[in-house]
Amino acid sequence: MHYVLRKLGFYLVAAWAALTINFILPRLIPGNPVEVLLARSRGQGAVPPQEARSLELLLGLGHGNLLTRYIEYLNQLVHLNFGLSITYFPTPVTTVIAQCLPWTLVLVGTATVMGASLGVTLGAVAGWKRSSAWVNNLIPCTTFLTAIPYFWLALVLLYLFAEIVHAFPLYGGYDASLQIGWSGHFIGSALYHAVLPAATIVISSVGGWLLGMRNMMVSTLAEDYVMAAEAKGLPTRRIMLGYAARNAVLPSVAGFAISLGFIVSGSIVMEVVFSYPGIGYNLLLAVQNDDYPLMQGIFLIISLAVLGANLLVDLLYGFVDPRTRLSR
Amino acid sequence: MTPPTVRQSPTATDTAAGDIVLSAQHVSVDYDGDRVTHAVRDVSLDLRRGEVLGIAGESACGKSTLAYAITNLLRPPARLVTGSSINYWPSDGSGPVDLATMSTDKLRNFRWKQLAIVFQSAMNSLNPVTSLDRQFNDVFKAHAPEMDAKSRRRRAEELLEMVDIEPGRLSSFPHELSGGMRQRAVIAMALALNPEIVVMDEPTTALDVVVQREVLDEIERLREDLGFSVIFITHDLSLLLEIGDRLAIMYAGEIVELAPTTEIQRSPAHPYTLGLLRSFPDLLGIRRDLRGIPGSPPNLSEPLVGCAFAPRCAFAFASCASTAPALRPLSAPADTGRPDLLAPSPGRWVACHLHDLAHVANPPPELAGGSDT
Amino acid sequence: MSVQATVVGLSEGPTLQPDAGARARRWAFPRSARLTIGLVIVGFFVLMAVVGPYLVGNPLTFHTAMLHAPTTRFLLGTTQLGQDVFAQLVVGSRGTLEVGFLAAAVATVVSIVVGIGGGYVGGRVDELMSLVSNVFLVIPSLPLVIVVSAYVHSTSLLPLILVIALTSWAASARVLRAQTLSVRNREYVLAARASGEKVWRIVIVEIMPNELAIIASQLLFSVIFAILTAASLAFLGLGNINSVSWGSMLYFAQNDEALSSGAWWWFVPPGLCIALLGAGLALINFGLDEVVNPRLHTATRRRAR
Repeated sequence: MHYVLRKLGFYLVAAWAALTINFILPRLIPGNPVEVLLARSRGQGAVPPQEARSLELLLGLGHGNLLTRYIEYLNQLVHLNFGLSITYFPTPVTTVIAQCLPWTLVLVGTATVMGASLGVTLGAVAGWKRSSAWVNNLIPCTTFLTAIPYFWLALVLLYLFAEIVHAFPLYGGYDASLQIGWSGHFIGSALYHAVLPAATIVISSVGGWLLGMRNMMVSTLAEDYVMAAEAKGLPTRRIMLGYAARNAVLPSVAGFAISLGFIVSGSIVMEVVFSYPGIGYNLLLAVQNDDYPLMQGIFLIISLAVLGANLLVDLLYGFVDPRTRLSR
Repeated sequence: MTPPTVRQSPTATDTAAGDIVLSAQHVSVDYDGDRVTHAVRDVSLDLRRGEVLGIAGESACGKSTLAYAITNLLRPPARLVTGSSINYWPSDGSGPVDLATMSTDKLRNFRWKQLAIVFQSAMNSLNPVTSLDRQFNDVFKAHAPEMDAKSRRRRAEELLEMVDIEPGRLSSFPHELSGGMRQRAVIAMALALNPEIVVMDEPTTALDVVVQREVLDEIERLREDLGFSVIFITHDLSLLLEIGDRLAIMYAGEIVELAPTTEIQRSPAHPYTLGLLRSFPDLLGIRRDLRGIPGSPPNLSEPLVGCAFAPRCAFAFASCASTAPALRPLSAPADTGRPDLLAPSPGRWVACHLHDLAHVANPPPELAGGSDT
Repeated sequence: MSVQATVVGLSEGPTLQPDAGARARRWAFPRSARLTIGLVIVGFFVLMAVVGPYLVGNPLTFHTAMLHAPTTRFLLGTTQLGQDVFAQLVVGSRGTLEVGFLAAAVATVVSIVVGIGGGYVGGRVDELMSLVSNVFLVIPSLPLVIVVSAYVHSTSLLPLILVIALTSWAASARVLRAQTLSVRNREYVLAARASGEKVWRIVIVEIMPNELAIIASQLLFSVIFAILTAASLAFLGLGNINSVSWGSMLYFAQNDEALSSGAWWWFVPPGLCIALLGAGLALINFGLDEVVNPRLHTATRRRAR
């Protein structure tokens, strides 16, 4: 229980930090961004009167001292008032995010799970076998694989499988002529479009998981309790899974935070390559259009989502490693 | 210069009691590496049913390696040298079972049912993320698949009670138990299938003296109740003097003396044994000077010429540096033509030129067979 | 990018023995294939970055041969605007490596101060610093970098370096802190404290040398991370796209439809170089690990002053 509370507390602090960073950063914008934004908005359509105020609060600018502005900023957030997006004027930022977030969540979420499972399993096997021919070749290959930038891999995959071999679509998350909905056609099309992006994530991330797990497996196998398990004549599978892998996987779970950060970063850029309608793609659009409200909103959502995922994994770790349950 | 003799091996025929349950003959273990280290050099010994055989020696004398060799747990870079044989005689009388060349499947079957091993650090020999009952279950499921969940649990609780641990602790994790409890749990797990042989490698070294006492008493009691044989490995000779029936003293990968405990304590034959006995105080005995043994053990990756202990031996003489002594039965004074000397009991073996008629007639007074004892 | 994911598995695992002095490492240098290969690869790129630009033509000049496949004149073909891809690659190596090493250096310095300093001082200060590092660790770095770059609108080198360093110091700091916590209770440190040595002296003279192996390892990982982040930024059109770097090459390649034109010579080499350089750095890291680890199992103690 102590563990759970401690973790919750930490993530609350981290969330608060994310919010505050979001508040402070716009200060870096040269000039008067609110005016600029309003001018551009007016160029696209009628601007609702309270928008100016919203923008000010959102960007932490305007009148009053820092503290009052901060409190009002938090107030905005609580009411989920992120302003109107410039890129998709006059759609509210929240709507934009609500539309594109699921795409990213599903794609990145599934691909991460696939990559992690594959990597950890392969790593366990590689660690168990220790030194057969294919294991020895696997390590340098994976080392190289982990150094490949996501977006370059995306480019290569796109080139190979969409240009040269017209196996997969060039861009998009779905066939634009289809209606968005839960129809079989649409889902099928969505899956079809998701193959290359998912493959990018899986291929790029599997190496890290594999190497980490393999190293831990090798050192776990040297532990006395594994030898004791052998001495007890337990079946090999039980030893490998229940005694070796079960202990070796712990650091991978603990280090999930860092890995997730990388995967998120990678997927942002990858979405750009595939023009995949997710949150990363829209972040870039926002950047290109100086769409500060959208940028702020997306940054916040990404941060909170990553924090949330990490909290879940940390809680999972507490469950998986009984030693943490003792209050230290 | 006499050529080195073929090493004889102590067998049951020269002693009075009991039949043999485990016999290791000419066991040698090498560690591969830049230079090959000969960790165990041509060791032969027998374990009799129901006895406690102690193996004592300094760190790195090869005793743990020997234990792993006997239980077929050697891992690379350690390697059992060909010519080693390890045989086991089950209690039902069926013939010798060759452990060294057993197939993996048969070995798995054999392990724990007939031979269990208690490792040095109980904390490390228990899976840290699994509860005790699951670990007991692993053992039962692997070797007694006919047991159902209830009987497994009952048996596990029985075992814990046997070692004085409250059965309710069955669902605990290893880190929730104290050091002594953990060690006792490990012993309980070792006895789960009523093995005939239990090998214990420094089972009490990591515990403080009081807990050590409890655990030792526990082991003694269990042995009396269940009648298994024990190979007890330790650097602490004083423990073995209490609990051991026979002792094997190891030095530099070889056995230098093998004898019943009472004999060794009364009159050690090998200078190294003498040194060991003198290096710890006797709690209730007479005060005497404590002496260590100067020098340090030889490097086992270099070829050894002559007796391995010679550089540190107070009684060394010319032959010691040139010829390696073989493990031979300790000669009775009748053989030496000196009937006035005290006759050592049968079943004593020693690897020392001082007791070899070919080299010297009279061992010095401090050692067995010496004129002043 | 997931190379740093292995940081957790490797540096925090039992494989790396940090108490190896630099002295001992120098002796144990040879005999690791990985180390040699890694050094060769990285050495090659460093050479390319330092000497290369003097040997190739101007990467920005427009030639008439546009979007040509590799020929003897243009070893890696030309871009859509007729620029020499090979020249860009070579000059770009300098831009990429500059950012990479500088950003990593800044990040490492910060992580040393926070990690070792905090770990040694202990108490509230340490808890606070540890909290800050953990927070920075969980906040996703690339979105932060993107947003900051977008706000700042700057194209010069310094903000880019600072921004990358800002998001990468936390991981190293955490590892160093963990190590410092264990080193600080070693006897030679306690002896130094008992003899009244000043805190900063103890940190620099007694503790840091024993963590050199880990610091070096973290530095290498930071370089990989910095290069990847800078390349990602450039690819997105942020940061400094006026100066040639491998990331900016990919940006222009993507924007100028290199894919659909099938101009593989344009977008394959830059990414490949990033991957190779990253792999080389990782190999050095693993090689050092191999070399340091089996030779020295016990801590090397410093001589008492």
